[in-house]
Amino acid sequence: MTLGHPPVQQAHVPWAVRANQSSSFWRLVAVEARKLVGSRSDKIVMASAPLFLIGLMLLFTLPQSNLASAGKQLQPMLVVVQLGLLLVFATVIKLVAGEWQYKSVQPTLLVQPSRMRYLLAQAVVLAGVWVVCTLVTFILYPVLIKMAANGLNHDYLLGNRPGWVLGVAMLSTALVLLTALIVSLLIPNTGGSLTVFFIVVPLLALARMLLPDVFGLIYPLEPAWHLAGSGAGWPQTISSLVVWLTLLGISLLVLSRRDAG
Amino acid sequence: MLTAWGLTKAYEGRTVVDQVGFELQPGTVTAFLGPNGAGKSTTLRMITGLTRPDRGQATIAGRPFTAWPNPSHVAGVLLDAAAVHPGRSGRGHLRMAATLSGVPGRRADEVLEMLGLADAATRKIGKYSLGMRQRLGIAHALLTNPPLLVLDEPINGLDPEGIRAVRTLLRGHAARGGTVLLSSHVLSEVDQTADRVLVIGNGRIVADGPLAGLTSSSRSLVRAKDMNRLAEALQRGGIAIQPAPDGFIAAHAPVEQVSTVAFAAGIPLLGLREEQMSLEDLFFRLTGGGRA
Repeated sequence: MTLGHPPVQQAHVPWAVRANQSSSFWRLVAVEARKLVGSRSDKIVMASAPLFLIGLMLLFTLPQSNLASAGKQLQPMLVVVQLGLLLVFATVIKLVAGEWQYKSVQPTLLVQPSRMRYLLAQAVVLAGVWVVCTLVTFILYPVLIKMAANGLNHDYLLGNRPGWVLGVAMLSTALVLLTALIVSLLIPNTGGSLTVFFIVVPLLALARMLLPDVFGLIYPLEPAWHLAGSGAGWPQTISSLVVWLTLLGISLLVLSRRDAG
Repeated sequence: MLTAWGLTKAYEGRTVVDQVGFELQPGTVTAFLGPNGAGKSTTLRMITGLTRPDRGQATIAGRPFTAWPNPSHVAGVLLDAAAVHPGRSGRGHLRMAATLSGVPGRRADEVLEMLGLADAATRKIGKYSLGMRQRLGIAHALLTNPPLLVLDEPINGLDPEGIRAVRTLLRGHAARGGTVLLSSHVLSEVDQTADRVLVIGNGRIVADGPLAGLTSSSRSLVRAKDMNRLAEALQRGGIAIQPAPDGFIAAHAPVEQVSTVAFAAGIPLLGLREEQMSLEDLFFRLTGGGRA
């Protein structure tokens, strides 16, 4: 039986007027962005993230012994993106999974009940993180790899391919962020999500290095490696995209049905 | 203000809420009573859109909670005091909610002050006691000064001073024309607050009415200086008696009849009142002894 809604009572009273005015989506985005640095540990981690990234960049660029080709000059960036941005990804995981673990999503959903709107706001925050991470990588990495190439008396070969470098930086960062998002949506527990992200994903990277034809099929960064010119092949790239987009779809379905009580 | 029709929810084939329906009027405090697992929280979650009912519907001022563009201005809700991020401060938590609701940030400080949490405003919520978390949850519910408050076990964990403050606050909200629905599994938590009681047992509403009406029994409790004479007089008057706690006699008759018998026998009474059932007795009677 479908029950019709009676007309809204007291539509003129102040609370009804306020209740009829939807809260701005950007307010929701601002709140989710504030949550990203909502606790002391989040602030410390985010403040340490640039230092960690620069340290990892130095570690993976300066000791290189063969930077004779553009591909070899770009490949360390993929490792840097995956490892150097770990602290940022950890904060993202803490934001998404922590909200469900501590049920702090409940007060948010009681203020604005649309789960998809809530996720979209988190996605906008993630997009902001993605842009910042991509730009930092895009600006710093070429400087360091150029220093490393000069140290080896190799020509710096990325200078006339900025679009390619930017594309690889954008795609690789987006894929790692997407992986972090999927893991944290599927495992609504900060510890569990961080464990999976920090163990399974690097293990996949290692396995992909050893057996690219096999593990490239499920390695989340395979499309970025492909764009960087070091992919295992189209089947692996397509398979990786299908696998992770399917997981994204499943995680969204899980989110829409998860009990927030 | 709040209307629920036939709310029903089953988990894994087990019906936990079954055809629950009621209507709340402005200016009233209604207690939603039931033992743990009776279906109180599930009902409240269905009312507030966190759980989708299998059947039935609830509306607040004519619309489902989730159909209001900014529902926090319609109903202030506390479902789980533990549902807060322990790493954030009380003020930070409320300021985020204030931003989201579109109320000024200073309102967060006002409600913190109102609930006696001003001194702990900057402390991490993880360091709060259960009672402080409850008060923070109530502060969150009051943030937009909504006409309806839906509070799940709000008095749980509060000290006596906190309980009194919350009672005063809820009565004040109703006195200003607001509506309050609060759940509890302990009768004594709500008996001085609620105008009306909804009792839920095994997922169904088993009683609905003023508290005194629900817990009254057909027996009177009576005490006199000379208890032997009183017992004899009552028995002579055809009233069955039983010993009762605290030196009283439980007489199977209304207070008027007991008073008349004692007066006729010339026995001065030290106490006479209608026996009130405990919530446990009430549940036992209403649910036939079945506990969820």
